[in-house]
Amino acid sequence: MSIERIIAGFMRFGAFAAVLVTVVGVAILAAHGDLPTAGGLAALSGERCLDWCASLPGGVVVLAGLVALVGVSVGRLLLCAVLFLHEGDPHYAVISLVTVALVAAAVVFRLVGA
Amino acid sequence: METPLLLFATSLFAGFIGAMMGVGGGIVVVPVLVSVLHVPVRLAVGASMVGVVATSSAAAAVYVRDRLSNLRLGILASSLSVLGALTGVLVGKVSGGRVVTGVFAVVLVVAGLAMLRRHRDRAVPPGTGGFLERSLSLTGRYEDRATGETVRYGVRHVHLGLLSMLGAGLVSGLLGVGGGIFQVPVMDAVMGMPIKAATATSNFMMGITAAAGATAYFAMGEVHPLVAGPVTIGVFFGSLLGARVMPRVRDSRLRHAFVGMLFLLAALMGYQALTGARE
Repeated sequence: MSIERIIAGFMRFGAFAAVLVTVVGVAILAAHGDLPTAGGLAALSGERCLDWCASLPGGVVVLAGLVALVGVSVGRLLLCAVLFLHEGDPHYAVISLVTVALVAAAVVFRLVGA
Repeated sequence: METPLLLFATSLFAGFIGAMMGVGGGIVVVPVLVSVLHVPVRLAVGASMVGVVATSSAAAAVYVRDRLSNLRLGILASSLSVLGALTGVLVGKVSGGRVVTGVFAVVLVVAGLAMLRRHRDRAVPPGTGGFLERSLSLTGRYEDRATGETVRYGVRHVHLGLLSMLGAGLVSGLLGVGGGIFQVPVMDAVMGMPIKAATATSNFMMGITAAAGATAYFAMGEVHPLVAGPVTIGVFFGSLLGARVMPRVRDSRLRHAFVGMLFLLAALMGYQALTGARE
């Protein structure tokens, strides 16, 4: 199987699983009547986000799905590194890992900057 | 319309456009969230960041499988783009916002005109890019579903293209916009890639760059499940739809639609530069 097929399969399976978790979370929120109204959205605040998530089971599930989705996106680079190495292409394996390191640096930089 | 439905419908459209054009879709989602639903700007941007990751995950999975995305170029260019974005955030703090916005409105118009000049839509033959193209294994091949032909393409001006990717990242960091709007013209007009391969590769790349932004927004507590949940679901399914439609669209139509979007964005940026609307 080619690298492209394996990467595509990983992204497809991972993204579907993550979005399924998100859908379940949103469904739980809807079942509890916690879905947003226009006025409710305007009153949202980043500071209370984690408290809010902790207070509602649906919020935690949605957040888990979203984190998994981002994890899949970064995970594809790690998988690329392994597959390129396996295929005897160490240059692209290194480039994949360097990209992961740069993404990590970008996160740290933004957090420090914030 | 009920708020969740409006969120979902807007995101569905943004995902569709994002998958078709190789851009994030934030230019659709953020204004609606902020202007219509009055979501605080940072929460809107946080939701949009996760939405871009969703767009890339849904669409790029299809494009990578069908070899429309150039995997090697995507990884190589992503590293430069992230590096450029890092630099852009730094430089942005010491530059005049209106001047930078105005300059890049002009850059977008020039990029659009350069893309229009490639009216024949012919792929650059493999080998055109010489030593760098060969040593980096950048040649590509895919089946064009609009024509039924197998397209084999090379990548020209590799050094200039990769340098431009650094610049595209720099610009996205400076202006706080997704890199796709600059990456696609670079791959198309500078590197001579077919427009479909360019948008598909941009789709693969933007998921990597947006993951960095999304992780930071998560850590700052600015990805709110009430906003980001419905947005992500809508964008994901919109992207799946876009990824099914894009391969069947003729190159010339895709190119004209992309250039139209570039000119629209240039007009918005020009307006912001002249009036200081963003400041």
